[in-house]
Amino acid sequence: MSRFSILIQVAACAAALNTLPSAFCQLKSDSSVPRTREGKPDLSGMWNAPIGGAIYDIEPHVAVFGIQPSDKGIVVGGKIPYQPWAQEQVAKNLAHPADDPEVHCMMPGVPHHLYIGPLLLVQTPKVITFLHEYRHSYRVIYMDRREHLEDYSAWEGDSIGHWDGDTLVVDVANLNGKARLDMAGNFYSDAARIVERYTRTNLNTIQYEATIEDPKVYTRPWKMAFHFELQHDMIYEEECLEGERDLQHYPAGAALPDQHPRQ
Amino acid sequence: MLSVAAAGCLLAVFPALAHHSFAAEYDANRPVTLNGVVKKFDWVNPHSWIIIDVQEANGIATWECETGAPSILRRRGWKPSTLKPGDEVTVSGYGAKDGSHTMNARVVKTADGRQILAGSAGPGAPPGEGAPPDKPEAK
Repeated sequence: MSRFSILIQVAACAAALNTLPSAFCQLKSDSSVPRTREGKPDLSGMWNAPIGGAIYDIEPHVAVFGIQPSDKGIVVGGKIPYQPWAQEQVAKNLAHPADDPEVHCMMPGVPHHLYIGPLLLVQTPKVITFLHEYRHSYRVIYMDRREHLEDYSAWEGDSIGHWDGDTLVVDVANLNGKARLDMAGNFYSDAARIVERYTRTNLNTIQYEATIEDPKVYTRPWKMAFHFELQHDMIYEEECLEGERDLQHYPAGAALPDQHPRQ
Repeated sequence: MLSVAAAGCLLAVFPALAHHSFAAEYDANRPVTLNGVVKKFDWVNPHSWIIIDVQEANGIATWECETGAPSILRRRGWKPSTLKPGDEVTVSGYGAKDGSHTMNARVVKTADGRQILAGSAGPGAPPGEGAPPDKPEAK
């Protein structure tokens, strides 16, 4: 498949993302993608998602000197459909950066962990493991289990996966709802369910799409989309606690400036 | 070891300051440039710190200069031995909002002319000074 036809494929899917189920938007792996003995695309390797300024705010935003660079964001359609109370909560989160679990060395959560640093993906038929550099932590996707854990809760939940053609589909539940999606206060609750779709469209690229549903927080499910690029590098140790000295410098009770313009 | 130029290509897309936002702690309107002597180079996560003694009007002040994580620094050509106690350095960056002797380091220049990105320019940090120098050089 030529690079042009992949672009057409991705563009067509991007256009369809808001209106059609993903089954109508089936991405495929081209011939450059290695396959496992079972014939599945092999996603193994080191990957990084170059999302730029969206790491600060996943919604589209303009630049503010000293606060944030501009970015088109990674939210499909541009706006997260918050319920009114939740939209207010985003503003409260933004105004209290010291409450951000990230600053306290907590787990970034799903899908936040995917775009906050590189990961080494190790694929076997029964489990697929993400070895995240950030926080020196991991996520395991169980391919041989169909039901989520009962009465369980975790920062990054429970991930079970299956193949839909060339796409790895991961269903994430059992989230504790404490993690945030970025530094701008975007969030979900413990009622969130996330369905992720990973398609290695060519040797160097994994296209990623997540549908996030949370009846406590959003008015409807919404989608996030970005891509990973293959890295020729290695994973380094990046735990958090040893040298954490930032929180002590956060001005007590101080908030970020009020202006947080969105496009 | 990766050359700094090669690392720059690799790392241009890696988040440098994911642990916390720049604006929550540092003031973009408080640019700081310090000439000092390295007391300690603390190669630790989630951010490394360069501790330097600076001669100020009232005597010697100890400043803590925050850099990127060791992973970020390594990809930009740094090693734990890059800075040693006693080294003279010039560190440019932005001061903390709380007025303490703490800064977000952007560029470190050594007495022998090396200029190294400190890797701490993260989301929200002002552009400009943290941009890669024309001819980066690793020790």
